[in-house]
Amino acid sequence: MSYVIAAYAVTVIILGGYGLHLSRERAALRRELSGGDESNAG
Amino acid sequence: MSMAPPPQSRWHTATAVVLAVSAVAWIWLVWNAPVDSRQGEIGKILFVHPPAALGAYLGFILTGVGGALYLWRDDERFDHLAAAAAEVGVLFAVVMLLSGPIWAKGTWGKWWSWDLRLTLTLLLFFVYVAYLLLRSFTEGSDRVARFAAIYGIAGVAVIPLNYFAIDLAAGRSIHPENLGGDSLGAGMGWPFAMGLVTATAAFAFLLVRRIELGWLRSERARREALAGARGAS
Amino acid sequence: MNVLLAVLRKDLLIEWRSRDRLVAMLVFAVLVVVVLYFAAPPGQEETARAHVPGLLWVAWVFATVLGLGRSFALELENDALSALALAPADRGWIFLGKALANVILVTTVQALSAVAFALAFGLDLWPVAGRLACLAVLGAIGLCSLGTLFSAMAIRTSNREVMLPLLMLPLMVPVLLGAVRCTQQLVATGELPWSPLQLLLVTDGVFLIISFLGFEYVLDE
Repeated sequence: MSYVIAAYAVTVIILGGYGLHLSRERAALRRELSGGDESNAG
Repeated sequence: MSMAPPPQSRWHTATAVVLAVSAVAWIWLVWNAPVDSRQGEIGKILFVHPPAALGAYLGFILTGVGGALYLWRDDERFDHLAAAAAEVGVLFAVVMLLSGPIWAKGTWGKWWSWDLRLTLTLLLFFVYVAYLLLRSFTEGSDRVARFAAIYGIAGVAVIPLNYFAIDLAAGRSIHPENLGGDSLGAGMGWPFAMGLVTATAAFAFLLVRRIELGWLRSERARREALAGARGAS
Repeated sequence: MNVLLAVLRKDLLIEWRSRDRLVAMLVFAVLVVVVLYFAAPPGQEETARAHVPGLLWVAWVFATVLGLGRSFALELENDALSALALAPADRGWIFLGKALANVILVTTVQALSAVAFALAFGLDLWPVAGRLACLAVLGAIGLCSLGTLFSAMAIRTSNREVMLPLLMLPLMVPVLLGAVRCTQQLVATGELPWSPLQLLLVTDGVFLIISFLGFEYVLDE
C-alpha cells in the first residue's frame, strides 16, 4: 500500500510542482510585460 | 506598442475544466478499482504508470512534429510548441521513471532491471534532457529553434528503431506487455482508460501554459533587444 | 558530387598532413582498452574474452565522439564555417563529404585498434576479418552520419565538448545494439546474424537521410 501511495504522491508532487512553477513565472512575466508597456507609452 | 493577447487563452479554461473533471473521475475510479488478484494493492500503480508513459511519448512526438513544422513553415509558434512539448514530456517521463521502479520494487523485488524496454526508455529520456540542454546552451533564438528542430526530429526517428531493437530481444523482456492479453483484470479497464484521459488532459493543461510562457519569454527578449537598440542610438 | 569530393579531399589532406586527429583517436581507443582491462575481474581470461566485442565498440564509440568533436573545429578557428555555408553548393553534398572523411578516419582507427585488441586479448580475428570490417564500416556510417550533423551543431554551442557526447550517445543505441550483437555472434560462431544486421542497416539508412536533409539547417550564414 505504501508503494502505491508513494507512486501517486510522486506524480502529484512533480506535475503539480511544475504547474505551480509555470503559473508563477507566467504571472511574473505578464506583470513585467504589461508594466513595461505603460513605461514605453509614457 | 500594444501586446497581442496570447493566442491560446481560450484553451486555458478548456484544459483546466477537462483536467478537473477527468482527475476527479480518475481518482474515484482508482479508489474503487478491484484489487488485482495476483499483484494485490500494488497493481494500482498500473493506473498511473502507463498514463505517464503516454504523456511522455505525446511530448516527444509533439517535439518532433513541432520541430518539423517549424523548419517547414518557419513560424516561431511551432518552435514554442516543440520546446513546451519537450519540457512537459520530460516531466511525464520523470513520473514514469519513478512510478515504474516503485512498482518494480514491490513486484519484482528490485528497483530496476536492465531490461531492454526499460533501458531504451531511459535513453529516450536522456535524448530529451539533451534536447533541453541543447536549447539552453545555444545562443540566438533562430539558431536554437533550428538546432532543436533537427534534434527533435532525430529523437522521434529513433523511437521506432528502438522498438525494432526491443523486438530483437523478444521473449527476454520482463516488462509487462503494453496492452497485451490478460494484463488488465476485470473491472480494471475503466480506471485505466480514465488514467489515460487524465494524463492527456494534464499534458494539455501544462502544455498550453508552457507555450504561453515561451511566448512571454521571447516577447520579453524582443523588448529588451528593442530597448537596447533604442538606448544605443 | 564534385563538392563532395572536394570537401572529402580537403579533410583527408588536412588530416594526412597533421595526423593529429588520427593519433589522438587511436591512442584514446587503446587507452580505453587498457582502462577496461583493469576494470575486468582478474584471472578470468575466458569471460573477459566474451566481452571483447562489446568493449571494442565502447572504445570505438568514445574515440569517434572524440574525433567528431574536432570535425568542424578547424573551420571554426579559421572562420571558414560561414564560408562553407555561403558556398554556392548543395549543403547535403558538403555534409556527405565531411561525413565520408569522418567514416574513413574512424574506420582506420577501428582497424588499427582491432589489431591491438586481438593481440591483447589473444583473440583470433583473422578468419572473420572481412565480415568484421564490413560491420565496422556499417557502424562507422551510423555513428558518423548523425555524429557529423551534431558536431556541426555542438560547435556553435557554449559547452561544445560536453554537448556532443550528450547529443550523440543516447541516439546511438540502435547502431550500437545492432553492431555489438552482430560482432558478438560473429566472433563466437563465425556467422553473421540477420536481424541485428537488419537493425544496423535500417538505422544507417534513417540516420543518413536525417542528417543529409538536416544539414541544410545547421550551417549559419
